[in-house]
Amino acid sequence: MMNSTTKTFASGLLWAGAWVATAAHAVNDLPGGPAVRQLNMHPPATKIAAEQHSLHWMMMIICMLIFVVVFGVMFYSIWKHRKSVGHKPASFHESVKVEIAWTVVPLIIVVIMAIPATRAVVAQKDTSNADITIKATGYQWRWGYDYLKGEGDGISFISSLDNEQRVLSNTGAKGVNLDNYLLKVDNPLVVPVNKKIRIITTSSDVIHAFAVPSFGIKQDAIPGFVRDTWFKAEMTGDFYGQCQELCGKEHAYMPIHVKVLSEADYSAWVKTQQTKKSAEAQPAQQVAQANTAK
Amino acid sequence: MQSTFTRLLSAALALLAFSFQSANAQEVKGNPVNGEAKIAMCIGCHGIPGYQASFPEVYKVPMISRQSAKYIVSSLNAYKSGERKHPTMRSVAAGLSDQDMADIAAYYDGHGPAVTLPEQPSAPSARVNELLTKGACNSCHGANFSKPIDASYPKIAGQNRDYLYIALKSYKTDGNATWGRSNPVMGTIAKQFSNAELKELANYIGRQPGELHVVPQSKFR
Repeated sequence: MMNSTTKTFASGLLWAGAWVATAAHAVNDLPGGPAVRQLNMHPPATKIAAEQHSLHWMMMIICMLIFVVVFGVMFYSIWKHRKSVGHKPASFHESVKVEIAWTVVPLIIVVIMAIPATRAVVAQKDTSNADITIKATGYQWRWGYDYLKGEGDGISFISSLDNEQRVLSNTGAKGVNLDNYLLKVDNPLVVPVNKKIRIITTSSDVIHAFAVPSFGIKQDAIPGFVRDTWFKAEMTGDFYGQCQELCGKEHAYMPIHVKVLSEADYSAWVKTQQTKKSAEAQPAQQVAQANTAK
Repeated sequence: MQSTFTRLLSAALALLAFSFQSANAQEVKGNPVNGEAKIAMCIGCHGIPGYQASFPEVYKVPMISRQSAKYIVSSLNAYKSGERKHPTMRSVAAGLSDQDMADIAAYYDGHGPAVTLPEQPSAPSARVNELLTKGACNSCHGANFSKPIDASYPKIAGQNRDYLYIALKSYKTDGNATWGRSNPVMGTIAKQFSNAELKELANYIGRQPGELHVVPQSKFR
């Protein structure tokens, strides 16, 4: 009896050890994307996201303080003035003073919380004076990007998930450790650093949502409607997001990858895209010319 | 003079032969096994029984299991090139290479149960018969609407009625940025009919026994 218990215990330990061992060299944090056992929000890459962080912590601290004070007073009173030590309940009815106090105090707290929050929300919605305007169109199930205004206007492409990763996910990607699992796309959205980018969202079929947590943005993409949001990335790098509105069977497979480049690199990218585009357009033009010549 | 002409002629012929050859070389063979890995984007709509698209109006998406491979390839290419306009299908087709299309088409060609169909469809009403003769549908799509004279034409018998109607209507649509089909043959045919007549045609053809299916994925994996 004893023997079997130790055996089970030992095998359990072995299993736990094996699990820890596999976990140790499993996936790594993806900079700009999800981290392993991430608890907090993504590290901010824009002022808005940083603001959201500080707001989040401010609210959290206020809530914690209220929690501690309210429950502290409650449990202290329950314990200190319990019946068994001979305390008698007060028998008063309706106290205007108390009622005013418990209305005014929360009101003040809510106003204190609302002032910075409102300021942040107003800043989030201010999409004016953008340097570059890009339309993000949600399709079932990928994103299409059209550069409408600013450097690189006219560029347009479709960004879809790497099919190999999609196939991997059919079997649950067992034994495969990819840092960018289900986040790798063929054509990332490329933007310059320190420029205000306005993203116009719309959709061609159902409601999708364009979201990049590191930038602190999320905006629904609604068919037949146009909505917008903006960001100004303050560092170069890769940032990831996903569609955040349930949009059908492949909802989990339409990632967003934003590549933030330095201004010079961005100009170079725009140039290569435009030469590629004109190279693609040229044969068509020649055909058209040949047709008119006939 | 004569020799220059013959030389030119032979050069032209050689060029012609070469272009035919290259056209043949472009034809890619589809592999249904490879196709199965590439259909994630298809089954999201075409693999769900009763799934409805909402653009430009609500209708059931077409059934594609057992549709002929050559037609699937040609329709995907039409979406890719913009001959058929549909934003979501364009975004799907734009990411597919010729090989991908051939593989997917080969997969769906043999997908689902095979059905033996009657040689002749059920007798249409006098009015529908008139419309069918006017449109000469069976001259291309086959007597039972499931045996097209060319594999690049679709099997239409038993296809979803609302889809058939929308498809026919879209052949009449010109100059819309996001909607319409510019197939010259179907365009001239569809434009002869009013929308009400197209609906009658779609309802009749959609009621015929057909090979097309929606084969859902297994719920258990």
